[in-house]
Parts: sequence; C-alpha cells; structure tokens
Amino acid sequence: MALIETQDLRFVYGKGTPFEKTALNGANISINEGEFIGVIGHTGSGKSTLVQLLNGLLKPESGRVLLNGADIWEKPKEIRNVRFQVGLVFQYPEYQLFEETVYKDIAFGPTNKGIKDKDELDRTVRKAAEFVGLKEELLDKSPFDLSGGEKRRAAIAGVIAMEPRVLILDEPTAGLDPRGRDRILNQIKNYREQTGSTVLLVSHSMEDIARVADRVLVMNRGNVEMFDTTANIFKQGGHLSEIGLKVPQVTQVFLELKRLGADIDAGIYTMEQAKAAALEYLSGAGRKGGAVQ
Amino acid sequence: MISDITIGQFMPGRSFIHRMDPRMKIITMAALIIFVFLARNMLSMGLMLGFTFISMLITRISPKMYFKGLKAIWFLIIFTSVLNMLYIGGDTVVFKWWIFTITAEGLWQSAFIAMRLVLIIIISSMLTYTTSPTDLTAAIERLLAPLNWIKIPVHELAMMMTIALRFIPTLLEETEKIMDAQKARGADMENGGVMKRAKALIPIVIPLLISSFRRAFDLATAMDCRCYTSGSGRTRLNVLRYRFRDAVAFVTTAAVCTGIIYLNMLSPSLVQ
Repeated sequence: MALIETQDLRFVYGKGTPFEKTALNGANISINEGEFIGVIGHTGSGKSTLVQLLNGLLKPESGRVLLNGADIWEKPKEIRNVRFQVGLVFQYPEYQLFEETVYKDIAFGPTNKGIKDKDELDRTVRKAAEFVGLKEELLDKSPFDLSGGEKRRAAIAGVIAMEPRVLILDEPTAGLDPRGRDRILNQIKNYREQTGSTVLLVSHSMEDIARVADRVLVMNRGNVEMFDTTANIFKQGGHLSEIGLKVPQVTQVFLELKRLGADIDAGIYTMEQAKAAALEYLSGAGRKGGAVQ
Repeated sequence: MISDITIGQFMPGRSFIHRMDPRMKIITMAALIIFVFLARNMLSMGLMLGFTFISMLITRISPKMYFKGLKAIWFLIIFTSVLNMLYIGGDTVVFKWWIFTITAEGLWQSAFIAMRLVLIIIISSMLTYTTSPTDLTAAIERLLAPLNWIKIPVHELAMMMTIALRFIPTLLEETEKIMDAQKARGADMENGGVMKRAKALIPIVIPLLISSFRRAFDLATAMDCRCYTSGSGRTRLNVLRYRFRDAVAFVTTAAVCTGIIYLNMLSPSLVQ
C-alpha cells in the first residue's frame, strides 16, 4: 500500500473573488514508504499547493489525500496529527525561528507533539541537530546570532525533530552558496538513509534533483505532467523544455551527443553515470555508429 | 480568515468610476457622505439609495463584495437601530409592552440610521475598491497641499501613508506564511483558553516583528541609494489631471445633492 496517495486533488485560491485561481486541477499521485521524490515545476505550477495539501495546511476543494490509506480530513479536529507525520519545511524556513535558544526552537515541534519526558525531548532535539550538522555549542545560542546557513539548518532540524514519517522540503537550498547547498543536500540524503523516511524535495535545481531523487514528479499549470523514475524523466529533455524546465547540464550534453548520432544512453543525470557511459563509449563499444562531430 | 477583510482592498478594473481622477473621487464621495446625513425624508433618501445603487453597478464590482464589507458592522447597525427604536419618543404609539414603547417616529429614526450606516460603508468601500492605494495617497497629498502653508509636512505624511498601505498586503501574506510554518510544526492556535491562545501568538509575532524591521531597513537603504529626499521639488511619474469624465461626475453629484435639498422640502422630515 502506498504511504501517501492523492485522488483527483483539486484546489482553488480565493474562491468567489475576482482573484480566483485554480492552483491544482485533479492530481493523482502515489508515493511509497521510503521513496525519495523530487518535485519540479515552474513558478505557479502548483508544487507548493500540492505539498501544503499533503500535510493538511490547505483543505482540498475536492478529492482526497490518503495517508496510510486513511483520508486525512476524515476527522478535521485531528488534522494536527497529520502534520506530525508529514513534516513540511517551508521556503526560507529561517524566518520562522522565534525562541531564545536554538535548542528551544528545535524543541517547539516535539513539545507540540506532546513529548513531555525531558530525556526523550533531549534525545530528539540533539539527534535532529546532529542530522543537520549543528554543533553542540550552537544549541545554547540565540537563533538570531547564527549565520544564514546555520539558521536554515536549525529550522530544518525543528521539523526533523518531530520525527515525521514523510519529510517535505520546499526549496531547502534557495539562496545558499554552493557549499551550503551541498551540505544541506548531503544531510538530507544521509537523514533519509539512516531513518528510512520518505522524502519529498521541491527544487528548481535539476542538478539537486538528479543527485538525490529516485523518482521525479513534474508539475505544470496545476497538473501532474509526468511522474516517473529520474532517468526516464530526464530522457525527455524536449518535453521538459516545452514546459519551461531544463534537464541537468550533464544530461544536456548526452542528449546532444545522441542527437549527433552517438550510440549512447541519454538517461544520464549524474557525473558518475556520465563518466561510466563516456568510458564505455570511448572503449569502442559504441564507436560503430560513426564519429561524433 | 485574514483575507476576508475587504475594506481598503483595491479591485482593479476599467469602469468609469475606476478611471476617474482620485481627487474627484474623494471630493464627490465626501459630498455624498455629507448628503447621506442631510436626506431627511423618503423621497431624498430614495434618491440617495438609487444613486448609490447605480454607482455600485457602474463599478462592475460584484455586489457580493460590498456586502462582504458590511458583514463586519452588521452588529453595530442592528444595535444602534434597536436602541433608537426604543429610545426615540413620539406621539404615534405602534406597540407597547411593559416598559418598552415603540413609536412610528422611533421606527423611522432607526430605519434612517440603518440606511445611513449602510450607505456610508458602501460609498467608502466604493472609493477604496476602485482606487489603488498609491492613487489614493497621491490624491490626499494634493488635496491637503494647502496645509503646507501652516508648516504641516503633507508630503512626508503622505509618503508614510503610502508606505504603510503598501505593506499591509505584504505583512498579511507574511503573517499567513509564518502561521502556516508554525502550524506545520504543530502549533495549535484554535484551541485552549485565553492565556494559551495569547501564548500561541508568540511564535507568530516575534518572527513578524523581526522581518518588519528587516524590511524597514531594506526599504530605507533602497530609498537612500536612489537619493530620496522629501519636500519640495519632487515631481511625479503620473501627474493627476482632471478630465471630461471628472466634470461629468462632478455635475452629476452636484445635481443629486441639489435634488436631495429640493426633495427634502417637498415632504415633511422623518428624522430629528
């Protein structure tokens, strides 16, 4: 059984005003336990709406969200329980920090969840801080004294500390320098490997998605355009650029090589794969097809 | 929800009223509000109601939006009407029970008060619905320009108003974002007693304050970078000009106001 499933999910913003806008127009997706899903799409394609529907921050106009086979809106009073199971990290999450110390801020989520035992709380907070690579001594500082990247990681830890079964991150690397990006991506990857949680990563960066995702969900104008394995999605460079998206740079190179007549697999999206494919091709296996100009 | 507050919300459009000069809108609508109080019998009140209704249709904004604006003050309207109904004495008693006496005079009085309140809200909503905040403050600045003579810094006040108005939607959006982010961390804002609810506001108010300061500093730096200086000598990108349609609006409003005074004389007044 799928962990999260949506059935004909529809959402409309500003219903009944002149600003009415359909943000999601019947989405059907199904995500299994432990999967790493990349979510891509243009600004305004419905990505953010979709993730907010998944944790019950928005209530669908029609359609259902199933978590573990049960409709999350069956008991509207208990929607808070869904939010502990589906953790959502918003864009620029550092703006949500408010406590006196980083420790207290990370403890906000687990406390709301009802963890009262001091040791249990301490364990979850320290574990979350460790996942995002925050040093012990930072925990007693004010969150407003941290650097930009540290703030971001502290905020992510605040959601991880709730130990959700599904972790959704909306552009966690936006506005960070390359080193900060790599760091956060690696930590998310490690987190998922160690805990076996399901992760959804919303991103504009195809390189980020290519590095971490098993499957990719492509959104376009409120519809699910494609939902397939990362290799299959990036093979369709043409289709992606039609809806204003790109494939990773390395995939672009291989798609172009293929167009020029090289007998080479175009479903390549990481450097390691590229190296292997290029070596294989150069060793003569694909040479018969004619030289590449 | 926060987004349900409609007073002061601008609804873009291309109607006659949308395209009027904002100064003329303020002048005519202020005149209309004054004359709402001068209409003293059913004939003049009828003219006022009719004219407001037609203006509402001209704006092409759904009447629903106007009634949404009224929602907030329904209680006030009913409360003052009932109070007036009971307190205004008169000779023609319609209904008497225990210490409550309702007279025809009292009924008219309360009906007029209700109609006046509704009209005022509709007319002022019409001004804000059809005028962008920037136009509105530009118009206020121009209309108040004579106050410069008594050393009131009209431009600075208008600038402050423009900035404040400009940031209302931004702050509302920001508030909703922060609320969502804290809700995603399990913050509970709907349940609990007064103390618990007040405490639940802290995770929202603190980030909001911090980001407001950040925005204020950013804006001040940006203004500095463009060498902003206030006071005289500033020119505008869009200079306000009265056009033919403003003359039409002025003449029509003047006619309606004259009509109200004339109709007041035709039949006896129903309010004190």
